Amino acid sequence: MIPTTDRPPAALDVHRGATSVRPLGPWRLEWLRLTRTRRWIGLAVPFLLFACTGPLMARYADELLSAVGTAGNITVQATAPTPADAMDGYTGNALQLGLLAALVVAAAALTVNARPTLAVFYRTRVPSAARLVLPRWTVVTGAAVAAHAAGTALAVYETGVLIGLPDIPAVLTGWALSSLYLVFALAVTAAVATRARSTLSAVAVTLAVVLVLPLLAAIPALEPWMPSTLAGAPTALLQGAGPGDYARAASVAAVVSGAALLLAIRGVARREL
Amino acid sequence: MSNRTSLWASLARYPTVDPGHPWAISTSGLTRNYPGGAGVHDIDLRVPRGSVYGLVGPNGAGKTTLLSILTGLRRADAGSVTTAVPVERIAVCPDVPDLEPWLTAAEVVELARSLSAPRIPATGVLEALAHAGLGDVAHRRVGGFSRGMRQRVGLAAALVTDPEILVLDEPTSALDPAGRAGMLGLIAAMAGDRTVIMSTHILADVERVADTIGVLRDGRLLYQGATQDLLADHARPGWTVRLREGADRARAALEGQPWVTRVTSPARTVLHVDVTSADAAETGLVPVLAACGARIVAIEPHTADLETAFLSLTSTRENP
Repeated sequence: MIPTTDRPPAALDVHRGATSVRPLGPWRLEWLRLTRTRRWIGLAVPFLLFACTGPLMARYADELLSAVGTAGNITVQATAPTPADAMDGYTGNALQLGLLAALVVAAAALTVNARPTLAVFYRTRVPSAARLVLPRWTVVTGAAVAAHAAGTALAVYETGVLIGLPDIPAVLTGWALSSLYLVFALAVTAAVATRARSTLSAVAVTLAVVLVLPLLAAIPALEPWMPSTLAGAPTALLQGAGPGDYARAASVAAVVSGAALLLAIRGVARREL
Repeated sequence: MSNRTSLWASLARYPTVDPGHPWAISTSGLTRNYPGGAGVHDIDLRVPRGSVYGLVGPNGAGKTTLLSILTGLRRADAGSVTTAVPVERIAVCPDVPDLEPWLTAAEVVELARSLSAPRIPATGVLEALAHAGLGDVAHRRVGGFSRGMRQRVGLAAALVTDPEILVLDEPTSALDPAGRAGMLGLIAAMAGDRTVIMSTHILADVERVADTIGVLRDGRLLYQGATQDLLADHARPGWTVRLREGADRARAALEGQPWVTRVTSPARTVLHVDVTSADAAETGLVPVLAACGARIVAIEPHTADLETAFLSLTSTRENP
């Protein structure tokens, strides 16, 4: 037996008496990655923060603008707030900063080959790269969608208290479509991150892709097909748009997400260490 | 051949599995070229089953490239790899494993077990850690571990899967003397039960535990066979000369002799003299020392060691 030369102080060894180890597979590993590293906080904060501030800003926009306006002898008057304005205050911000936070967390988890000796640990132990990629992507994406759901619920509650309840079926449809956009963006992140040499480069490339899509959507012929239009669905649905308006974008997002995940799995396996 | 859809299978060249193969691992004409002539070239490796195979060579010799190809992490440009066991029965332990710092040592080993050998009971996790000398710190997070402790966690993570072939890259590089002795003891104890392939540039480690050796230099396998045969074939005779004074004069005089291949001075009054033949030294050593006025305290032959054999082998190939 090898003697232990770095024995820690007993006070630090809080589980010293433990005689068993709780099973740890790839799914629980990703849950621990999210919770023990506190990444879940970074993921949840943007959604919950804007869920709090969005309806508040919509409700008191008139008062805020009036206070700012009278200081310069200018009178500014906002229109009466609607539930759609309040929900737009949430989704408009949360789906930008929340998406950015989710991209960073996903890229950090999915840059499997960025640390070669850690990659050796995983890649020589799994029969398929899918066992590395899918749990990482699913847990982060699930957490982002859950954070978006919690933010949406909080925004609906606050809107109901301050202004009046929004159209719930439209809210739910909008949440589903914008969640599909999150799924799409994080699948693209997976495809990029599994080929990237660092988390930073993975985030940069993915951001570039995500930013280019709205530019392409400026072309009228392409606009209905662009997954980025899904991010605007929550507001548009509350303002009278129909779910069918997003069928093509949702289809593209679903197909591209699947393809991106396949690319991610191949990306891990083919990279030499 | 393995029928699993695996990382290995997704690579251009992956090991062929043949349970009846006479070798634990063998390669045929294995070649991987890198710019500037680096890589490995036409390697025919033969690793006997149950052996401890020491893969030695200087930095840049191609050891890591060869091990990476054997373990499926790099592709070969040409040649083939054949193993006697399926890939899941091969464990790899990098020199200093990079581990998730927020996991405990026990969780790292448990993760290794669940990923590659879920059939093995989880009770083996703490046993493997105890075997590696980390029983007392099993439930501490590895983020605070030293390099040596991480190396031992890596070994435990490899052993928990009960592999038939264990690939160790520089297994003692981060260990203190006591840890190194323990690690070598562990490796030696595995001989016969499992096949161990260890790459290292510490020749003393190989000499101590490896029964078979492969010498790589510039990507080519210069020698492969029993360690004892290498010592017998290539370890040239040498003498240790202890002088009261005149070591500098003696060294200069000895280096001028055609039968002297190398003179080193590990201490101010000690010379190690490697020679081409024992006969020449036995008749010529004392006269040369006497002629230069060196005052001799002792002259004794030193035993052949692997370093001497390695240097002899590589210099022979350099200047045939």
